[in-house]
Amino acid sequence: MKNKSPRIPRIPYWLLQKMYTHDIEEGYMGDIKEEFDEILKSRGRAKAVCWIWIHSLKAVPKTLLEYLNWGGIMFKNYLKITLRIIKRRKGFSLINISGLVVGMVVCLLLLQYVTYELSYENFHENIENIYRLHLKDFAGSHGAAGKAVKETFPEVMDYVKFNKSFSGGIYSYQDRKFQETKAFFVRESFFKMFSFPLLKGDPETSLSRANTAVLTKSTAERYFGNEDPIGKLIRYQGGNSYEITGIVEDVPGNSHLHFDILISYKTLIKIRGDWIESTWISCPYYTYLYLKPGTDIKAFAIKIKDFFQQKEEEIAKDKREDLNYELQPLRDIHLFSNLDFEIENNGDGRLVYFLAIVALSILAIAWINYINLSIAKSLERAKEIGIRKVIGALRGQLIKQFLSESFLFNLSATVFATFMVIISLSYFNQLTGIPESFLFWHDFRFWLVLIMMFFSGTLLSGLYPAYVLSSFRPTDVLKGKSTKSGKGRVLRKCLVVFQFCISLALIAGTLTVYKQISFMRAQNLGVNIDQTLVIRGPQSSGSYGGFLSSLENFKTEAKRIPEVHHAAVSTFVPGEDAWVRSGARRRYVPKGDEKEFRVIGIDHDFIDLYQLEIIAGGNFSENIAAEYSSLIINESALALLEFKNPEDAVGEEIFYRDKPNRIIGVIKNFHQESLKENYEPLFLNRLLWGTNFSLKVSVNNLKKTISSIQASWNSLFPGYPFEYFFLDDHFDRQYKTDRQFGKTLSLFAFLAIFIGCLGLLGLSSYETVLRTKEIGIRKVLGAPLPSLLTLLLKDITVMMFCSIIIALPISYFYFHRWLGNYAFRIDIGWWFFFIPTILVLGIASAAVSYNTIKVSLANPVDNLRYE
Amino acid sequence: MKELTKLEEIVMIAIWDLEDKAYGVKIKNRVKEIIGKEYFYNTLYTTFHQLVQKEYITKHFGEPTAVRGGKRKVFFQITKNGKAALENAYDRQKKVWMGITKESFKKGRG
Repeated sequence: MKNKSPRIPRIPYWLLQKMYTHDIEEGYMGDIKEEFDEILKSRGRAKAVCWIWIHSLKAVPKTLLEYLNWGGIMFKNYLKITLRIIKRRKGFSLINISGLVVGMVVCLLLLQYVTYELSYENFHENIENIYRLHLKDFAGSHGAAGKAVKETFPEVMDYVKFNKSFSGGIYSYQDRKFQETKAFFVRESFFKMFSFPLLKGDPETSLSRANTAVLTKSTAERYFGNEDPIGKLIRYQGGNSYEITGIVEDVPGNSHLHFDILISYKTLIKIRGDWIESTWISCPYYTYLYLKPGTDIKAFAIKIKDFFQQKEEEIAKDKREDLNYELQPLRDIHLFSNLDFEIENNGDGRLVYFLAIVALSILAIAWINYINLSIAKSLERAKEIGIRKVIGALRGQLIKQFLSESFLFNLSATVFATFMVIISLSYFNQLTGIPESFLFWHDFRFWLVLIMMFFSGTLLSGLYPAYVLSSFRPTDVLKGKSTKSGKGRVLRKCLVVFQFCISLALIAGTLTVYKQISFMRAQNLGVNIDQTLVIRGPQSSGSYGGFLSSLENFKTEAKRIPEVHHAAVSTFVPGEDAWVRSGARRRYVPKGDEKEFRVIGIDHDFIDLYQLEIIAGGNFSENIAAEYSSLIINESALALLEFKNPEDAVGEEIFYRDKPNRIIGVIKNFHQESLKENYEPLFLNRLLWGTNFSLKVSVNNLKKTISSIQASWNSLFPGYPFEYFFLDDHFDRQYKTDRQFGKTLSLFAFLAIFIGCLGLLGLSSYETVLRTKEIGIRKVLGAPLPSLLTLLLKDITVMMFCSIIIALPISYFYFHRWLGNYAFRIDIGWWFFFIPTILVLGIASAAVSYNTIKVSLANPVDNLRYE
Repeated sequence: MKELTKLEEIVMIAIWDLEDKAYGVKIKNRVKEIIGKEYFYNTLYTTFHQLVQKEYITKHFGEPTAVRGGKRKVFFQITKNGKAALENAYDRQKKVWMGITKESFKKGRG
């Protein structure tokens, strides 16, 4: 058939050959060749080539039409057969489709969550070139760091520094007052670097003068309603006024940097003094670098490290803290940064990837189900396949038939799943804290994923059954021989083992998470947070003495209410990140070798109210003035200061902020934060720069109590908003992400088992049908029911044990590492292996037994007569 | 007996004329001579196929020749049935056109 003349164009020749559908091909192709040669001879090559092209292209539409026509007719037949099967085996088909639907819905919803988490900061145009300069384990940096780096390295095009430690508080416009926590001082290059679009004002100049501020749209509406805010003044804590020079679009949810108010950095310099630009001692500033595009970041990170090492040598020890600086890409901050002093709580990247894997596994389980169920159905289909083959169906056509069947199942599943996702998405968004506006299906990627899911589902779940079913030999199946094929069984069992593995791992994980959470909640915190009402109080302003007496006044007022048993003031309450740290050393330790301690300012009632246990020395007295340089330390601090026992420490002098302080008491360690964190070395002193009131209240008549507290609040701190919360709820909120993780895991575990059991049900019915005759014979020979059951359950037990051996060690490894995040954690014990095993084994054998018992109880005569 | 389509009729007449030399290229040229229109091989072979199915013609292979890229010619021959069908077509044609001459068109009603 090779074309000997090299001069005949190959493509049209090939086309003609392909499109010829009748049986006299040899004559046809020969005729074309002959005429082509003739034209070539008489009218030249160009004409001949032209002729054959026209000839071939003219044949295209007709052939295509014919092909579609026949394909359509066959497809119609496949459709009819499929619909009949669905009708005849309603339960079976329902199981099949619902498995696919559930798998797809779960997968899509999770992908929505994962996409959202991965979309953080994506809206910044310069995202690839923005890096955060931060200290080791600490998100902040020193006041001088940004400038020093910018001046030394040409790679740094610009930097932004901001700070929120001195800007929280009450802002007011006329009679409108609000407590703001998301207020920042920022350098003017802020808008150049980050892509927060300004609605009004100039990005270059709006923050270039002192005492200017930019508000977000919704903040501006809070203060100014419908008025034009530009040029108006807002007042901070009754003191400074800031002129509004710009309005910025609200910060999207997927940013780690949520602000309401931005104030020019020059304002901060004006308030605090020039030294903040050159300090290497205090580090409450966030520094972001804008690097030149194309900078080799690895090399640059090393340069930065060397630079700061050199700096450490240059600067005198008492003029600096440790300068172990690191760089962090903006993109990684949300998912992979978990430092102290973060701007807000970040997500967990490992969790996101873990969930993505879980999502795909659940989809895989659903597909495996389809495969297993289709093969289970094969016995019924065997005759149909045999007859089709006898009539003359080619194997390719049968494969096409089963693929179109899986196409139909997947199509209907996809349609259902899409509807369900669209309906449930807003609920899901609420559950996971994704903003309402982030709707996945507005994204073309959603449809892309859906289409990919559909096609890969069709192929993956359709190909193997098509391959197995089309391999039946018509002589065998029509004679009624069983079609137990050896080759597919191993694979099928592997698939079931895989399903078990995922179910086991998810159950084990759910157990671990719940145990850990309940462990953390049941643990004695060392601090009594029950029935404690916390009110966010004012920050110190004006004279310190006057401020303190106003605090005392409120406490006295509050205690007059009979339901309030106790009142105290402190800078932080338990359950908060007490981020204030300071260096301190003992007298004999040289200057510069200070250790770091967290510092909480308290009053003399704090220790009583929270029932902290004093193990040596005593509490603060009411005489504040005498105790400004007194300290109470905890056990961790005791160890860090190298005291042998608590009694030794009492009365010792500690150089704290380079001033001598006397230790007057030692308390037992308590959990300032969740049990994720270890005990931190802690100082309690009497400096109250910011305040939280803690009130112990009785639970009866809570509403009235709160309103009377509010009344005295309003009379003592007019204009300050009354914001309160209950400490136990607040403390519990630290476990919110853990609890969400647990909930998600248990939901998935349930779904995985559910879908897996559907598949198992189908598979076991297949296996039992195969052995119907065997069971009949065994029964005739006198086998009792239990021995029949063991016979049939043997297979599944073997598969179970395989999956236990595979899945549990892997999940042990994973969840052991997960527990490593917690300073106080449970040990993984026997339950980790035992409970999932029992659970899965129980559910699986229940599913299998249903079929098994049905067959075992049947009359052997029926079983043996069935052919 | 099934009636012939116009193309089938023409193809069969061409085969009839060509006697034992009736194969693809010749038939195509003959058809072109008769009605002055060029049909493509795809169409012609579809017609051959239909005629073979109806058992009006038979096919047999010739000797392979170098000219045709080593491919054998396929010759067609009218069968008995085919002859009858052709005859039938001729009779019908005559009946249909009975009494109508070229002049009839010149008088014209349209």
